[in-house]
Amino acid sequence: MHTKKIAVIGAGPAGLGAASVLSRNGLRVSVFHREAAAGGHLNDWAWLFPRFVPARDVAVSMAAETRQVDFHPGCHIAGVSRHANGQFKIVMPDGQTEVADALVYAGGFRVFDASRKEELGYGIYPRVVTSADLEKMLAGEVPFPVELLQQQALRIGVVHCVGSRDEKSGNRHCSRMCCVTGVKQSIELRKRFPNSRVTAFYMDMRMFGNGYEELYLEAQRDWQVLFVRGRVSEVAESDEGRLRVKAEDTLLGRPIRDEFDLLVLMVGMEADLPKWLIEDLGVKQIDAGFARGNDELVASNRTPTRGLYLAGSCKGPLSVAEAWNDGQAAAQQLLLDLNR
Amino acid sequence: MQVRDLSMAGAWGDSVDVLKAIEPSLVNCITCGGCAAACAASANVSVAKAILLLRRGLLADARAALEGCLFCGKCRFVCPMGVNTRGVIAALTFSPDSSGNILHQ
Amino acid sequence: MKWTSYEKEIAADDFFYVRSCIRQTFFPGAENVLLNILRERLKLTVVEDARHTSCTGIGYHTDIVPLETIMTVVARQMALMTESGFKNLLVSCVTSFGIYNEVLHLWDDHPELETKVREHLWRATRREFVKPANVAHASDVIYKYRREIAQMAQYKLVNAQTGEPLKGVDHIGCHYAKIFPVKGIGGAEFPRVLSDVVTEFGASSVDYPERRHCCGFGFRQYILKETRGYSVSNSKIKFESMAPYQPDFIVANCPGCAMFLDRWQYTLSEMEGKTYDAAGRGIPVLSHEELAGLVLGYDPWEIGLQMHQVQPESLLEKMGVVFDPGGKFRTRGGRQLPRPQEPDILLV
Repeated sequence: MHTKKIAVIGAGPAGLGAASVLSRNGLRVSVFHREAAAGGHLNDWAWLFPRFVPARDVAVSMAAETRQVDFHPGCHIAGVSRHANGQFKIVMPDGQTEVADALVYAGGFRVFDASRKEELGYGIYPRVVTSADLEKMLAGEVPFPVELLQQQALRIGVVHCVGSRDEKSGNRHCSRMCCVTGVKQSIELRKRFPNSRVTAFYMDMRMFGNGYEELYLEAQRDWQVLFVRGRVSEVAESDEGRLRVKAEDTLLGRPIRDEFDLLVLMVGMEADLPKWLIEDLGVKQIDAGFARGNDELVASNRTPTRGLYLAGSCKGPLSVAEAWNDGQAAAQQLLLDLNR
Repeated sequence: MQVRDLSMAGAWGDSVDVLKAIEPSLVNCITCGGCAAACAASANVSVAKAILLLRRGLLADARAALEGCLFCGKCRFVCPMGVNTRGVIAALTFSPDSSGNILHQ
Repeated sequence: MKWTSYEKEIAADDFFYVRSCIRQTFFPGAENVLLNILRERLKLTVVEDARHTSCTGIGYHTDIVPLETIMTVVARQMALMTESGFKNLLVSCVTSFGIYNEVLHLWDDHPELETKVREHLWRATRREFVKPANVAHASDVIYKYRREIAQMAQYKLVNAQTGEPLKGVDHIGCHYAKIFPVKGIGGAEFPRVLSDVVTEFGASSVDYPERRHCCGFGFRQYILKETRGYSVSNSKIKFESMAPYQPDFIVANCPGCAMFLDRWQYTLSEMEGKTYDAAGRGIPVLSHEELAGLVLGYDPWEIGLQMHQVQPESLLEKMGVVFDPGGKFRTRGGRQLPRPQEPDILLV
C-alpha cells in the first residue's frame, strides 16, 4: 500500500475523477475545494445534455465514487510552492499549510462575464439572461421574469458564442459546450413555454458529442427551433420593454431586426488559473490562457514540474464526461509515475 | 439594403407545417448546398435556399429559388441528409395559401 | 481678442485617458510611450478603461454616424470617466479632442440636447455621467511639462557633431485649435503647443509660410478614392513650403496629420520622383510624445519609429542617439521579422 500523500485542488468532475482513482488505490488524498459542496459547475446546472439527466444526481454519483479522502470545503488555496525534495507545500486561506508528495490541479474554468459585451445588454435589461442564469430559472431556484409567464406567444432568442470566438473579448477559442447547451435549453424552453417560439443566432453549430447532432435535429424537427446563422450585433429596449435585436442572416445575406421577450446568452468558458500555478509551479499557458500540459496528444495531464498533474477544463473547455475522464486519466498517469 | 423584420408569424408555423405534412424530410435540411451544386438545370436553383427561405416564412421567395427546376431529381442523390428534394419541390408547387388550404398555383 | 484667450488651463494630474483609433492601428508605440512618460517619468496618475470605444469621429465627419449617436458615444466615455472617479479627460487624438469640445459646446448652447442624450445613454447602458472639469489633448500635457521633460532629457534636439540646433517644423491638427481656438495653446493664429516644446528640447522652430495649412488628412478628401488627390495636393503644398528651410524633422500633434505627412511623402516620391530633403531619405515625422520619448532616451524601436514610412535613422544620427540597428525588426520575444521591401526613390 502507498503511504504517499496526494493533494487534489478542485472538486468538480475532474477533481472528483482524480480523487476517485487515487483514493481507490490506497493513497492518502486531500481534496481542496473553494466552494462548500463538491461538484463544481455541476451545482449550477439543472439538467445535462444530451439526455436531460439532473446535474445534481451526476454530482452525487461522482462524489460517491471516491473512497476515504480528506475533504477541505470552502478552501480557496492561497498559494502552492515546491520544495527541493519534490514535495508541495499548500497554503490554505487561514495560513495553515499542508504538505503533499504530488499535486493534481483541477481548478476548472470561469464562466464568461456577459456584461463585458455591453452591446448585448446583459446587466442592463433584466430580460437578457445568460445560459447559467437560465439553468437556475429552469431548476426553479430563480424565478423567470414574472411578466414572461403571463405572455401568450412568447418570443425567445438564443445568442451563441458570447465571449467565445471573439477577439474583442480576448477569447479566440471555442468554448465547445455552449452550442449543445443552446440546443438543450431551447428544447427546455419550448417544453416550459409551449406557445413560445425560439430563434437561435449562431456562427457555426458544433455538435461533436454522441447524441448532440440528434438533439440539434430534434430541436428543429420536434420543437421548431429556428436557427439563424449570424451574430447579434446590438440589443436595445423597445418602448414596450421588449428586446430589439439586430443581426445579419448570413445565409440569406440580409440584415434582420427582430423583437424578443427573453434573450439567453450562451456564455463561454474562460481560463481561471491562479497566479501561483504559473509563477511558482511553472505551468505554461496556451494562447487562450488555459494551462498547457506537456503536449496535447499523449501527455496532456503531465507538466514539466515533476509531481504536478493537470486535470479537466483548466486545460480548455471540456464537457462533464470529458472532465471526469480526464481527472481519472491524470490520476492514472500519477499512479504510473509513482510505481515507476 | 432593405432591412427585413424577421417575423415568426409565418416561419416554422402555418405554411411550413402544411408542407411538412406533405414532405416530412424537409426538416432534415442542413443547408449544405449540395443540391444547388449538383443542379443540372440552372445555377440559380437551390432547394437548400428554398427550404431556408421557407423557414424564415418567405414562401414567395422560396418558390422563386426553384424557378427553372427540371424535376430531374439529381439533387436527391447528393443530399447527405436524405431529404426528398423532389417531394419538397412538389410540395412547394402545390403550395398552401394563407388559410392553409392546398391550392394548385 | 485678449492675449489670455490664447492660453488655456491644462489639468496638472489625475487624468482619464481615451485612446486614438489611428494611433492604435498605425503607431501604437506612440501611445505607449506617452503613458510611460506620464506615469513613470512625470509620476502622474493616468487611468484607462478597456471598455471605452472609438469616439466615432471619423464616421461623424463622413456623415455615417448621426449627431445623436456620436453625442451618446461621447456621453458613454464620460460615464466611464465618472465611474472611475476622475474629472480630467486626457485625449490622445485631435479628432476626438475636437469632438469632445464640440459636443460639450453644443450642450452648453442647447441644454435640451444634453438632457436627451442623458436619456439615450441611460436607456442603452444604464450609465450616468458628470461632464469633465478639464479636457486636455496629449500634446497639451507634454507642453505643460516640457521643462520637466527637458531637465530629464538624455539627448537634445541639436546636431551632435556641430552643436547647431536642429530645425523643426510643426504642424498643428486643424481640430485642435481651428474649431475652438480658445481650446488650443496659441489658438489658430499663433500655434505654440508644439513649437515651444521643440525649442525647449533644443531645436529651432521654423515658422514656414504654410504652417497653418491643412495637412491633407481632411476626412472628406481622403475617404473617397476619387478625391484622394486633394489630400495629396494639400500635403504637397505643406512640403513645398517647408522644404526651403531644410527641416530635420516634422512634429505633429494629430494622429491623422502625422500619418498622412508621413505616408504621402512616399506617395509624392513615387508620383513626382522627388523627396523634400537633400539626402533623399524624406523628412521624419514624429508626434509630440515620440519626440519627447527620443530626447528622454527611449529606444527608438520601443517607441515604434520603424513603423513610420519615412525612417527615423537620419534624425537619430543627427541627434547622436545610440541605438541598435539590428533591433529594428526584432520582436519582443527576440524573433527577427522579415525586412520590408524598400522603395527606390524614398531611400531607407
